[in-house]
Amino acid sequence: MKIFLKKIIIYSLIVILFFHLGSYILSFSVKSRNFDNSNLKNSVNLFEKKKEYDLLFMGISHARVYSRGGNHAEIERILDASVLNISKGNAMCGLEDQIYYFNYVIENNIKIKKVVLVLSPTLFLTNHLNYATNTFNDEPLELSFYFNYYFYDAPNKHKRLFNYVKSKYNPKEWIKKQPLVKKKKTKIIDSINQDKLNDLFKLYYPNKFDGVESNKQRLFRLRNICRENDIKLQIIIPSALFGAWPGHDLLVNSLNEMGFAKSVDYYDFSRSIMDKKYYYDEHHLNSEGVEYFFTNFLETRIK
Amino acid sequence: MLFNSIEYLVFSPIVFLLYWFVFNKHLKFRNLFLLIVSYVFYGWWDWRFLALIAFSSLIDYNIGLLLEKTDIQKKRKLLLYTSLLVNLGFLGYFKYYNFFIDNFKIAFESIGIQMEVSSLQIILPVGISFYTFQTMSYTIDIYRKKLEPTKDAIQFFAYVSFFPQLVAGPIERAKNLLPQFKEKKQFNYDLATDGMRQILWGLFKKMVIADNCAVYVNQIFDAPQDYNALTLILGAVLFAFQIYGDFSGYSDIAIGTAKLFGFNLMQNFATPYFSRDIAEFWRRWHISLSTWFRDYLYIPLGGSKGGKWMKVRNTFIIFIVSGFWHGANWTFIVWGFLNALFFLPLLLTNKNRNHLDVVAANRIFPSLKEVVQISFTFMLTCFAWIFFRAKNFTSATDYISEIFSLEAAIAIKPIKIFCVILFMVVLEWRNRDKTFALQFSSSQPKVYSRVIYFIIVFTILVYGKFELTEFIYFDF
Repeated sequence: MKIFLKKIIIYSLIVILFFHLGSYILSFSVKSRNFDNSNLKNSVNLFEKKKEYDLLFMGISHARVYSRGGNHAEIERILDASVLNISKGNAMCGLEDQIYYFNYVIENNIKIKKVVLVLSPTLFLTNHLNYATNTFNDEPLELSFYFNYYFYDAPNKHKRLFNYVKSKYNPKEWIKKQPLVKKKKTKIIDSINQDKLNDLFKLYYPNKFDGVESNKQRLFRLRNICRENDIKLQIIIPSALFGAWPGHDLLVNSLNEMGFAKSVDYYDFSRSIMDKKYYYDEHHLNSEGVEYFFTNFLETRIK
Repeated sequence: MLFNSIEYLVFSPIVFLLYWFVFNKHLKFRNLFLLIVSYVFYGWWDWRFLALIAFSSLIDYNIGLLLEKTDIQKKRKLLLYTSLLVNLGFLGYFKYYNFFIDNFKIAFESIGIQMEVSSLQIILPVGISFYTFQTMSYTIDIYRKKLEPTKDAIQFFAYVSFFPQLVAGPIERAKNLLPQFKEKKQFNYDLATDGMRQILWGLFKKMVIADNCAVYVNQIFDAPQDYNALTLILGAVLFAFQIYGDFSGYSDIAIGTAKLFGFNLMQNFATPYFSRDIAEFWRRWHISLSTWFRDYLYIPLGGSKGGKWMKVRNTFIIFIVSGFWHGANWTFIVWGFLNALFFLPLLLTNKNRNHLDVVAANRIFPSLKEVVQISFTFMLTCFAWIFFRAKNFTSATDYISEIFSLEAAIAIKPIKIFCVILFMVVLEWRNRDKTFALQFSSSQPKVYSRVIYFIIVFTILVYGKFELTEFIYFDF
């Protein structure tokens, strides 16, 4: 029996070791491909880490578009500030792991002056994003990141960590990963497709507004981390071509209840841009839209 | 609890260690422990249905004791019928009630009579078809005086609910399994390592083969009109491997797990896709069910002792009932009927027992004739699987007619999945005379087996599906 147990433990450890080692080696080769914060689709850790940033953006795809397609350099120019964008699209990351990323940035002694949380209604009102298990699939395997997360408390943590390691073996999604071409997103939406929109709402709110209470706690935590580190926190509700998202009022009321002051701590831009020429789909700004939004709405408010 | 879940990954080592280090010292405690963990294993899915297993076990345990006490034939028959009524009653209610109601309604409506009966929202208890067959075989064997009933209730309850094989078999006979609950166990290193290898092979078949095939199969079977003929054929072939990987994978995990606890379960699959005719296929596919039907249905009906027509009748009955056992749907009945049809020429020409040995015994490669025979048999099974997989009879016939339509459509080329299937086929071919593919002979260098294990473990980790997917046979 002892020999059996000993062998099981030894073989298991060897497998785990090789599995992680392979993943680490595969991460290494991809990391060296000149990634920066503007040519990433959904990776956050794949860029040279500076010592200091004026602004840090958090959120989901509505914030990620600020950096994609060469927009990153443009917003830095408009704001005249250095920007780090840790937001993540593709339904890969909820508020819980956005906070983890933010913590990780701070623990790496990267100085941040201000955090801008782009609070899309789905990010606050629902919980499903906090359960996504592919959150780190686009990140290189870094041991400090891995072990820090191991001791972090998050839903589905072990599945997420397992996928984090496993995903590095994916030839299409990881091994062949290259920096995105910095080509502006010039596509303009034709018109709002109501059927598509209904499907979208189902996708974004799979269990209605099941995340309000837990995400309130997360927001409090984020606010505390910012206070402890002398970082200003500002929240913006992003714009959408169709105006307000379902649950928009619930989001605003919750922010008010939590003591965030309108037009001071948070800004509601949901109905601020209603011209379709600024969108490539119903709720994502194209490059012209990003430029317009930053120039006309954000520049003075978040500086 | 699923074998491929995190819960089971925690559950099984705990049970294993407690079993050998704490409870194995005393036979009664050990069996009680096995009973409790089996009920926990089952109750994890839905604890309400534990009462059903307990009740079924209680009935058959007591009927077994009563059968032993009496020699009056009338009384014995009454006891046997009571057991059959209870077990088949449960099975009928939970599995077939809606099927019969719906079909009666359709039949009556076709002659102008409206029926005011509606179908029920019934949850099918997982594994009901397996454990009811297991308990029935116990009572029938006692009735036939082939088995002595056990007087130890815990032993019997543990036998019925033994967690490795509770929800999807193999359907064990009391004669094989029950005595194993009566004996003291010593940890057997060779048996345990063999069990670990079999679990590994089962996980590979389930998580790599079956679950990856399922992605394509679902896509193709959900919209066959979108795909070209070759892709539709591919869909049927992939389903053949999906169902094989899924079910034989489950059986391997179950048998392997039982070995870790010192129990030997019967072999349920013996490389069925290397069969040279459909009769051989049915001797190698879901062996525990085929032999169950042979012993408790085919032989009582007269088996092959009567005339030719009786043989034909019995063959059709056994195949159709076997199809119906899989589910309350006409597609399963047609699937059974088709297999009977394929079997018929062999039966009529007395060739149904031509291939009792392993194919290409003592040779590395099969002969050309064997290749043709294997391919033809595989083709027939794939054709029948279309009915097994389809949602209903019309979907199956639509699928088949789409194969013959010449309209341009999408083609799928699942190269990666074919590589892993090929790997599985090669390994199974090499060890086709063994009970599973990872039983290497001692003459082979150790490094060979180590490399194979390493490849399998890595393929599972990298290519296996870790999202929880139920085993197909849970539904049966």
